[in-house]
Amino acid sequence: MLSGSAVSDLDDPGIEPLGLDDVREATGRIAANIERVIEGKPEVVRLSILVMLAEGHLLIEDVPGVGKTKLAKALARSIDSSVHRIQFTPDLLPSDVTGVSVYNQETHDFEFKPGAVFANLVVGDEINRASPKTQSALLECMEEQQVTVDGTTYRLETPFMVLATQNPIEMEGTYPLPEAQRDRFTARISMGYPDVYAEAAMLSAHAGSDPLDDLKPVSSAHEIRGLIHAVHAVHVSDAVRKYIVDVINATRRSPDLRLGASPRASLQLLRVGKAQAALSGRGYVLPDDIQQLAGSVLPHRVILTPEAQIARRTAEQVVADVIRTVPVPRGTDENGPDR
Amino acid sequence: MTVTTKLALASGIGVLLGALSLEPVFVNIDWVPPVFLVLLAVAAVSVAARRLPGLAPWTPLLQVAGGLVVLTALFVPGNAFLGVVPTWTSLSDMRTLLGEAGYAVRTQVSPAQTLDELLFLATIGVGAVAVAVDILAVTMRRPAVAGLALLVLYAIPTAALVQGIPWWPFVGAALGYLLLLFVDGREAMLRWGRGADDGPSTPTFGLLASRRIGLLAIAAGLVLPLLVPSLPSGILQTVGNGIGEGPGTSLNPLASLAGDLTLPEPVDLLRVETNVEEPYYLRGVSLETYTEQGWAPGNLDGTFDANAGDLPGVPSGSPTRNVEAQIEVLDQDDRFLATYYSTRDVDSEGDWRFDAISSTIWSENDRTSGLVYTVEADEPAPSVRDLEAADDLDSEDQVQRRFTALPRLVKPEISNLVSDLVDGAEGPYARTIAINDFFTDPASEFIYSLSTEPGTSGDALVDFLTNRQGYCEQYAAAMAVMLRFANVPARVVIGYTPGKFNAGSWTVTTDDRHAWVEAYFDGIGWVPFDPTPLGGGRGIEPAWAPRVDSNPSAPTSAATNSRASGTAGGPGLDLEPSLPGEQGSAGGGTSTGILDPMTVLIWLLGVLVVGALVTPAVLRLAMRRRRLRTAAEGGNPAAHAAWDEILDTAADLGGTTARSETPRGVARRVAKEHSFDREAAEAIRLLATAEERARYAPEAQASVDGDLAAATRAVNTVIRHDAGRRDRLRAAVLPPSSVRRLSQEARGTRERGRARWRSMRAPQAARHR
Repeated sequence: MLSGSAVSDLDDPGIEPLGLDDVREATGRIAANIERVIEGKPEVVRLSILVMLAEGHLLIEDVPGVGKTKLAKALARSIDSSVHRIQFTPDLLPSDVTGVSVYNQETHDFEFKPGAVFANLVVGDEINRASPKTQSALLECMEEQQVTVDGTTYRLETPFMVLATQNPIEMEGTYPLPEAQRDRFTARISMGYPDVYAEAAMLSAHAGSDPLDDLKPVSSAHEIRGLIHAVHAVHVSDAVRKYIVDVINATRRSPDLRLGASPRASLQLLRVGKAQAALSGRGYVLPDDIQQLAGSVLPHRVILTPEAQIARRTAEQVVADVIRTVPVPRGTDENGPDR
Repeated sequence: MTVTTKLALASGIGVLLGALSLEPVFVNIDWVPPVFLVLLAVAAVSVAARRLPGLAPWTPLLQVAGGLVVLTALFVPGNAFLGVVPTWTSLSDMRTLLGEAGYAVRTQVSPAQTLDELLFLATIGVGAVAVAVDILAVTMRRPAVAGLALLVLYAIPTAALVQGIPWWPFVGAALGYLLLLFVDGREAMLRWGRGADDGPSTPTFGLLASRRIGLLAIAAGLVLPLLVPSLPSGILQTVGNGIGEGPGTSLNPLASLAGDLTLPEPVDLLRVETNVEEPYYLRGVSLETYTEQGWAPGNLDGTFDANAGDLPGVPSGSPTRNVEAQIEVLDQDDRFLATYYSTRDVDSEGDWRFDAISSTIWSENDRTSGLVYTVEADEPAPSVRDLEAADDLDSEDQVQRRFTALPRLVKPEISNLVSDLVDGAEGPYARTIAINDFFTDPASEFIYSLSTEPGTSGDALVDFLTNRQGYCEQYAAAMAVMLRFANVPARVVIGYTPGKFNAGSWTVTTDDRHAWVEAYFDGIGWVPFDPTPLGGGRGIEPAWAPRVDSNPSAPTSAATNSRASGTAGGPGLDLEPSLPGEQGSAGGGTSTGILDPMTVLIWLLGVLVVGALVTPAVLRLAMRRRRLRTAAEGGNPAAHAAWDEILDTAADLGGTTARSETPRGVARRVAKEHSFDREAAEAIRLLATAEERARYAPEAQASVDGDLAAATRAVNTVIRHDAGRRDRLRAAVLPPSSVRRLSQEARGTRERGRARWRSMRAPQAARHR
């Protein structure tokens, strides 16, 4: 458990430089570990690791019982780091999340009791069940990676990742995240049901014991910091930067969207893009990465127009259309597409 | 100097060397300056346009524009803007000039006078060839094909000169071609397998060898034809029928006849010393076959050596006149030997052959130029009584059948006329005289004129008989046809009137060229008749063919008539050239204008349309070559070039690539669509990787290992192999990628032009404010 004084940052000289091969190897290791628990969902596992390396937060949204929490836990447990789990309920208070100053009779002073958010990995279960006040307390921490209580600012350690789960049905008594707050999550994924074989395998494997209990950490916070550092070093060409901006701009111009993606979305798209490139052992980002990730990074940030909703279009479809229409920049020579 | 510049200059020089072939076509070298200037303009535009960004695809158009400016400045500056910029008026001046050129081509004999219109034609031709060579050699980098265009230049003297071509135009054209090949080959050789800094470029062994081979080939081309024995054959069959089909004039005896008669100054052709006081006409060649197109020589038999003596003459028994003559050839250069009637013996240099059927002495290989030869002849001098006694030949007789052949349909105007004329005439001679009288009777109101009136009947012969205006060609042709219709074997002869007698010898000039008629009578042979009202005492009136107009007043009136419209010159000859559109023709001379303005316009339009149609294909080929070359060079440009080539090939064969597709996305899709095998899939993956690295990776990681050019070829082959036939055809003829590129280019040019216009207007607007 780390207090606010123990601030660690990526600029820490103690971080060992990791090559792209190390990134591949390490992420492969973590993914394999998680997949021992979450079977048949390599893409979901991969995306959650990506988000972690992109220093983002993950919103897992799906019906109950498909393994949202299990995924969060598996990821948390695979890394030898501090993990907290918050079960969001309507009566959860913001101080439960951030921490509270308690009067210490012995020292005659207020002492800060860190809340659940002080961890490397925070699993926020059923985040939409908490009151908006509590939600926003968490979301502020997510964005700023710091906690301010009674005028004192406590910095959170890197890696810091919030994995929040949300149940889209059974909405009674819930407080759905407002758009502005959804924007703080780098990506939203849904688990989906496992396929027949995976489910059968799950039945046999999980019948006796929960494999989660046997999961051993395969990585450390220290290694994750190294990985994040390696992701930072991934090259992004002007062309790809321009492409990201083009895509984001296109969502703002799309006639189907009432609200397009924010500049924050551009930044986070770029970060996961870099993480994906590093995961593929590639030292540079391709438009392919962006195209592949846009479907996870953008849809939860945009709002459809009523017409599009009536036409039963989904945000995912609109984003896919945008990706289909935005031209891929043709090179670094800046001569446009008509080289 | 860049490769393109070198090639462009080599093309210019090559065409200039090729243009040397024009030398024998003209009498002097006045054609050199305009041709040189237009070549200079075309080459300069080529070099400049290829250096300026964005202009390269428009090079041919700019070249044409440059050539047009030079042509305007040289030939029609009067109505042009500032004397150089073409206007509508100056363009129509050019059209007129072209029309006149068409006429000049038909009428001038080679070597031709350097008339303005002919120079104009030559300059346009050479300019067009230069543009074509530039497209082929520089744009498409196919200098070998450019040889075809150079061949066009060489074809001009080949077609225009009767007397054969000197050897050096061939050498000029061949050397020009060789130069082009050499420059291209040199560039290819020096570039191959060498870096940019590999030291000075020196010709390698292979180049020296190729140069030697080329020169040897030219030498062989010059020498070998001399050694090959030539066969006697009927080549004139094709030659004679080629009326109005080629650019040349003189292969057709009738056309060259017209040309000779219209020369501004007569040229001395022959000098004749003879033992008779009043020599008759000299025969050249006879025209045996008559079709709707007119009279043409028959097939000539080359088996009988004319120098061997005892040539078959007139049938024995009929009276003859012995003629001996020595003929010295001055400026004539012909393949027919001018001789007297019923020549028994000829003594001349060269391989001269006697064709008994047409009584023509001719040679396939030798020319009369510079000959001095003697002729011994037994001229027929039939008495009228003998002729009157002659009966019609048997209808199965060879001569009868051969020389009364007519096209199946003879115009009713002619048949009615002949029937009227010969009505009541007994025997072939009486019929002949009746027809002869028709032409020579002043009451018929025939007028001698070198220009003929255009007619409305659609048949040149009928036109002549209606308008009754023409010269020997029409007279002879008409009379021969009428004789044949009257069942008298007849043919047209082309030769010379006796000429002028001066200091013991007769001088025959081009003005003496003449055509008349021969009719065949049983037991007597071929007897000449001349229906043409020749003035100036040049015509001869044999005892058997008295002219009705032989009283002194009649011919003068005919001659005066003709002179009234003439300018000056030879006796009784109308030398005023008529406009080609009005140049009708009669009888034998159906010389359709090959160069009337309409035809030229249609041709130009056709060339433009074809040019526009082939431009995309040509550009595509050029583009592919350039890209494959770039792809072989390595670096980012190589990756881009290879990738663009793949995209364009796919697009040409019907595939569409969305602009949002990434290289690896395209690679995946194309490989799936065209069911690539492993090798091709590997190749396209290599290309896609190279392209995405070139685009997006930091420079240190940009390069890939592998032969991009080879991979491109492999992928292209598979894509093309997989495509349907229609797609392949379209890709070859009208590649969509090229069409798109052209339209983009046009749009870009338009936008740039607008931007420039706006920027030009902006300061003005500011000033106005």
